[in-house]
Amino acid sequence: MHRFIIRRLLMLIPIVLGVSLLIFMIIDMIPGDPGSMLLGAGARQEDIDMLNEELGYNQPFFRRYANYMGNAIFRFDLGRSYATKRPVLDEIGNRLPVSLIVASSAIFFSLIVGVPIGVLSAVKQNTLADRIPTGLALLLSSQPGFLIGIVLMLIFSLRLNLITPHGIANWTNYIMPMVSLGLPNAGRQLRFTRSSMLETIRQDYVRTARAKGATERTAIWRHAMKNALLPVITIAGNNFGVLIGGAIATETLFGLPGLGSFIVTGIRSKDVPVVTGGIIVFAIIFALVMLAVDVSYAFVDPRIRAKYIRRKGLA
Amino acid sequence: MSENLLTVKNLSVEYRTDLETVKAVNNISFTLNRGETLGLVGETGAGKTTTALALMRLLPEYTGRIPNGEIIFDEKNLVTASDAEMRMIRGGRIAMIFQDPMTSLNPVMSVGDQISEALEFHNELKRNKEEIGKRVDEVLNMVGIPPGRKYDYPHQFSGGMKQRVVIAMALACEPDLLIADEPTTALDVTIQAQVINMIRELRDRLGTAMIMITHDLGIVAQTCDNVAVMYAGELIEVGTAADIYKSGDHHPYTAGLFGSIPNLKTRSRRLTPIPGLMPDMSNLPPGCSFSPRCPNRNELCETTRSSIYRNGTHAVNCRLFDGRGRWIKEEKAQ
Amino acid sequence: MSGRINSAATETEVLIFKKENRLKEIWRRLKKDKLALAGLFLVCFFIIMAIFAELIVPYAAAVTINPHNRLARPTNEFIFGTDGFGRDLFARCLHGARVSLSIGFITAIATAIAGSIIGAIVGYVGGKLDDIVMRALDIFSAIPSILFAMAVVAAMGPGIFNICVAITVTSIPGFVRIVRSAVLGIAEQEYIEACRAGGTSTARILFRHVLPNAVGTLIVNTTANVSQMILTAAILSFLGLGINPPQPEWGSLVSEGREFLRTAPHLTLFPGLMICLASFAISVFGDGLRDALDPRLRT
Repeated sequence: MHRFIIRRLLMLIPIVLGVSLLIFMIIDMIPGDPGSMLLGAGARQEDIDMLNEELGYNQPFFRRYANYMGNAIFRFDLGRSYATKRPVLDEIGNRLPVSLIVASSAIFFSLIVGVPIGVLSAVKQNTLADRIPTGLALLLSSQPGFLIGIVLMLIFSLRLNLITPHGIANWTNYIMPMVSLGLPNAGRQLRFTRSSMLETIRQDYVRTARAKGATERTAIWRHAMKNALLPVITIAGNNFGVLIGGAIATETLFGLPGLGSFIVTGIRSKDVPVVTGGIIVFAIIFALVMLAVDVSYAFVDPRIRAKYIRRKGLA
Repeated sequence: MSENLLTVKNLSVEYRTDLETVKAVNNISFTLNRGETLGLVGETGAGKTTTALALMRLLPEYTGRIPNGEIIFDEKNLVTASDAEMRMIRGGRIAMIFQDPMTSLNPVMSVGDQISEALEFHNELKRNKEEIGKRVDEVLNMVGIPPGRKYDYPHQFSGGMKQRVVIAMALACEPDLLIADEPTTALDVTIQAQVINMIRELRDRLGTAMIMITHDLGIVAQTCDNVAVMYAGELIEVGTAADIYKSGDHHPYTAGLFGSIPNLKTRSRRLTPIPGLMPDMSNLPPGCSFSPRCPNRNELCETTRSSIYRNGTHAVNCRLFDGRGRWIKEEKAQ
Repeated sequence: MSGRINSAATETEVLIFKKENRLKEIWRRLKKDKLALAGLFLVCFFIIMAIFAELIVPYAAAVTINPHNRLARPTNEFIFGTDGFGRDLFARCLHGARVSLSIGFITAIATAIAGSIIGAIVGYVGGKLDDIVMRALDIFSAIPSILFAMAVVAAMGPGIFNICVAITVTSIPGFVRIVRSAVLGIAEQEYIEACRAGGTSTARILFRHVLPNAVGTLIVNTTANVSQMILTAAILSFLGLGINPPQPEWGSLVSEGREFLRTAPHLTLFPGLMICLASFAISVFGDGLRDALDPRLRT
């Protein structure tokens, strides 16, 4: 098990290098230079040049990349933002918790709503108790989160005046982002759980359980559920990873200082350290989440557990 | 306690999809006494497994249904039994061994848990946890698996061992009837004999009645008191093992089946396979369903169904037996 | 199909015959699915409206500023009302449909073509090539696709074409994965083995035998992609990247309307409803299509 985890962590190195190089290149292609962007249209060329030199932007591309990665790897320093001059890592440290709270609450919400209803839909296949939730799920999963967010904002902030629509002043501010990201995800989770479950309840071992005299409830919740869970965990993990950096429209809508909107600001002002650093952190988190998903497989499925500890005697 | 354990009367099973209705089993009737074994023989797709699932009332929920017929098990009609009644019977009084041991065990549950589950569902003896654990050890011993392996998961067992686990699970509650659906088809030939012998031995020791579903006439000869031959959802020949193996009178299909097995005693004769394929079950021929492949058919066979002809314990569904010796035409009950 | 098939012409004929039969069969199954038909109808409705947008309301109405009629409620003349500049919101939604739908369809098709070619080759050839491409895809999928698309748009500059490129580039990796695994599954089948044993060329096996069998998967995923792409485009323009004002696009209309959410919520809700309906209709149709293409997948 440890060897597996270590191997997976080592695989992060090429991914981080690849991601950073790719992003570095794309950001470099954005027209303009950070100096003129920061100083604005009226600035004198000498000032712009000076600022660019100060930022190290005058050096050739690969020198800049090598410097950046050298600092990142050996000093654990992701540089300073061109715009705010503050260390990127500090900035990320401030924003990551917001993203984590939003993403995990949304995933939690979507699991609580999506999984049980998905299982029930599968069990009640082709009845109204299946058709209505799956229809709604399809509707929800084809909506962008920001649209649901706007509707929520309209109702709960503007009409009912229940929640302030902006900022992170208190915990109620997280409710609307959670629901607006969670609902489309819940739709996806529901549909996924349902189809995974439908496949599982047709398996021979579920029939075996019934042949032993199991009640429907036992056959489904004890025998089918655990087996149907694996793909559901994967999807949840994947969505969680995506939401940490990808919930940008919702972050913008609700004025949340999250990781996604941080990176977007960086893209707009060609702030290379911000964008690269932000995306590296994101890539690492994403990889760690997927690793956690794979490890959690081992707890559910003894066959996968066995793969990790194969060396321990003959089975 | 009567001798008779199971009587199946005019049982039919259909699978309905929005495209077609497949008549998988058509008006079959047979009886089984306590402690006896019935062999249900036929080629793949003849409706053997469907019959077994119908007996257990485990047909696929939305597609499979029983349009007519009765399954009288110990004086109770299972076709009309409630779900709760069926649950008590399944695994408790009728147990089933499935064809493929690779897929019939839950991969994420230890085999011990899977066996003890059956005991928990049917805990008439009010065993506590410890006693159930003891019983699990007992049945594992019975099928030749060291009880210490009850904490292992199915993937840690070979195919033959898995089938032993399935058998242990089926016999844990000492059922009156064991349905074995091709229990050895998925296994290696060397393991097949072991498993069959073990099933036979346990059946004798526990006095369980059994329905042995197979396409292997050798297994039937080894294990069965009575034999029913199934073709395209119908029973075309029923008799004692002696009727089937010793007498020369057979339905042409049964005769064909025997013609397709190699025989070591009569040397170097070519095998004579049955020409053609089984008919499409959603579109059965109007007459005898074997007529398209039958070497002895006449015009009547293609248009009308035959009556059943009976000679003591031996019954054949073929008009060729009309007026032959001691064969008596049975009036149609349907 | 008795008798030997010995000319290429006959073989093609047989293929076409089978194809026609299959299409009929798929259409027959699809016709039974009322919800999918409703989705298809709605999608067609949207497409027709988009194509004939100019005839219904001229583009000028969508961009003409009229300070005297700002933020009007829906009336007979302006059935969706007017926006903060007094522009006809219905005209803007209608012409926005052209942009949003064409981005959706173009990018989905471009992704499908590029993704299938790469996926099929990688999956079928396997070996080193497969390793390299898969590792590269790992890198791509470690970047959130929205951010990646934004970076590409930022680098290439705004404009519909550039948005299309950005969305296509970010969605190719996912498609490659899907095609690759479908191809891997098919390549294992025995009839492919038989072709190989019979000496059929790799290219012929790939394009004649492997890909046609993956067509179901490709179509289903492409349909699903159309609605996904419309959403991505909407998010990009909602964030103010991509479309040049005053050109309307659904996402940017929502974003523009947000300013007046308190006083004139219809400015947000109408374009929002467009996104919602179009994306839902395509998803419903895609779902029905999946069931019709492969009843075994029916869930």
